[in-house]
Amino acid sequence: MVSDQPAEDRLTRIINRLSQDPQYTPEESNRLKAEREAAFGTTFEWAELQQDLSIAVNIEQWLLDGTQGHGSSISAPGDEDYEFLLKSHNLLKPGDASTIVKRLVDGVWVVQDDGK
Amino acid sequence: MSELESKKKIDQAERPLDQRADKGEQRAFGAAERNVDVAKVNEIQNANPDRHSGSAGGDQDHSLEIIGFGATVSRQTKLTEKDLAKDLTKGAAKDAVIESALPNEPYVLKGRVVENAITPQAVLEKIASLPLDKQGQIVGAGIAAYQQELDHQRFRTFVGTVAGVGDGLVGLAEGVEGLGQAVCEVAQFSREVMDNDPRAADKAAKAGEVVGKVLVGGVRLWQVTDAYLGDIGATGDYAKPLKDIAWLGQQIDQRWQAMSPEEKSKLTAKLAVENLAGLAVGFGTTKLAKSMKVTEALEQLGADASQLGSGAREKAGKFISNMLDELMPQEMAVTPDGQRITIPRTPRELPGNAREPKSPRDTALFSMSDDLGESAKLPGKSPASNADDLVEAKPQIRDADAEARAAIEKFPPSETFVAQLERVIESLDPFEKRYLERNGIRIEPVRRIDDVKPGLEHKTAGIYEPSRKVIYIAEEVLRRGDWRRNDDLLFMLRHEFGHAFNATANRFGDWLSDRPEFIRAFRADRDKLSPEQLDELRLSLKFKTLAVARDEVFSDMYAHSTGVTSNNPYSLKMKVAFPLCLQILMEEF
Repeated sequence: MVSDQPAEDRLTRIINRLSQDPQYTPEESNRLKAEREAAFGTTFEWAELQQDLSIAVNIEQWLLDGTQGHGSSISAPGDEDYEFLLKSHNLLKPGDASTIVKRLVDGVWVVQDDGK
Repeated sequence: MSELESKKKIDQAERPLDQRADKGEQRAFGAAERNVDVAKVNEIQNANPDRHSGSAGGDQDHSLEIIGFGATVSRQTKLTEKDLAKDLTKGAAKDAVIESALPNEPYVLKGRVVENAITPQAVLEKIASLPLDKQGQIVGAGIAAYQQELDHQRFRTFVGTVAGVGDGLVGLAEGVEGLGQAVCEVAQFSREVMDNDPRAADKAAKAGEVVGKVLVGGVRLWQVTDAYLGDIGATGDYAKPLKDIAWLGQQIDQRWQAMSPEEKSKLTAKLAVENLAGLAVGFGTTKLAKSMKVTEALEQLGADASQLGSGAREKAGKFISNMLDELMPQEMAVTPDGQRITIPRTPRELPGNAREPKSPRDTALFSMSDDLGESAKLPGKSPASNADDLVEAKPQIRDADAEARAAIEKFPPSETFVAQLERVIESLDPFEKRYLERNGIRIEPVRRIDDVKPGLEHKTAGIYEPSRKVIYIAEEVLRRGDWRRNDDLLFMLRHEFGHAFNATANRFGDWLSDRPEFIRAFRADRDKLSPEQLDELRLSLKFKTLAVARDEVFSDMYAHSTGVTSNNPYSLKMKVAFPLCLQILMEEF
């Protein structure tokens, strides 16, 4: 058992279950760490035109210190950002979705993939 | 004697006098004294109280001479403008004009005609003195005149009647037309902002300037607009431009209300120092900073300024213009990377600055913002440099904890939100709260995420900062183009908890989502998704590595495993796409 929390704790049970397999070597741990850090300084803005013509937006963002941010919103026709989202994500019909990818370059967020 | 015969005799009696007058022989006496001798004439002339005394030289016939344009006009040389025009075409007369301009030419009488014109300020003050409904009618007429829907005679008559000055006051009518033009320009700007027309970005300053001039004329633009739309109705002839202006006012008020009290005070103080310094009165700018509706406060400021001199009015106009410039919705600008976000003209204070100890002058500025006369100047500094000091204070390198604490102190979330988040934290399961406590993971409410983490998207509602083991949950999030209350607290908190749990649970440092059993479940779920679905969920390798994708799936499935529902369509898609991962977190091993 890895955790010192009570055995009846749900979180502890999950930890115990996932810890049954052998632990990684330092090299394997470092490789996984490097994989996770590949996302640092990246933003994904996903948008989808819903059947009711509203636009669902989801944001994932990583700062260089590993901070992870999340947000979501629904914009309806007539909302201030609606037309902009339609155009920037090139949403033409219900079901259309796109992701704009930005990278932090010299302290500035730069669009790497406009999702179109 | 008939009436007709009598009039005929009078006509005959007057004709000789007119004829003699043409020859320069008219005298200042009536028809009954026509046949008199020279002595009688002199007697009558001497009785004239305006008689030439001779002190300026010349005799009675030269009592008044107008010299210019190459001719002399006097009692004896009667010339008209037509005669002068003829003479001017002759070479000699031209020379005479030039000679008469020489400095040694004595006794040249020069005159000018001054038009008694009504100033734009007087026009606005006249309009402002009318009841609101009449102001609405005047503004409507101004719009019609500007749009050339009214002929000018009818328009002048209308304006004169409504303003109570009668017909024919051309200056007033022109001023009202100018007001109509101003209203149309501001309405056009509002329309372009609504349509996301990039041309609006160039017109914001002009629109602010126009509104500033109207307000310091005492005209309460938004109250007049409301009165017109309320009394005459939204179907009135000029409802469209006025509706656009009303919309602009609402946007300005909304942006104002989205600012923290500190931001409002700082912006007001900065602009007051820059624009109102040197005035004996501060126009109640402290009251303005505390106002709920900034448009009403600016209208009051303009009305107060309209009672002062032109210098004070000009400064107040600039203050209003700059204030509006800061609050105009065009600040939702398109950034170089193509995103449309709010970019305040006045940089928001950095967390590092926020921690700056309160200096005496910092305190003094805020406390004196209602008295922004000479007393607002700091010793040895110009008002402008004072403002620069406050806004452009250099950030200092500090530890992240202290900076975040200072930022929260400077931009505190509302007490309501703090209490709301406490209830949401209380709703966590006991073992979740115990886990947070044992692992030193904190949950902090913040006003906006970028108060503590500049650089994050304004749409960001929650973050997990692994280096400090802190979850921040935002009170306000940029949604639908404006700052709105974060309405996804329950799921957001559990999603961020999932990240914290994933990153901290394993004593050996590996994340739970990287453990072989979770990798197997993730791979099995992922293999069922088409490349298009992977792209849509941004889980393909072109977006993120497998380790990053697993972390996101782990956190989201953890939140779903708690039974809390999400209103986020993306998260709902993830739940459908990763059933095996969800089973692990629901202990359905």
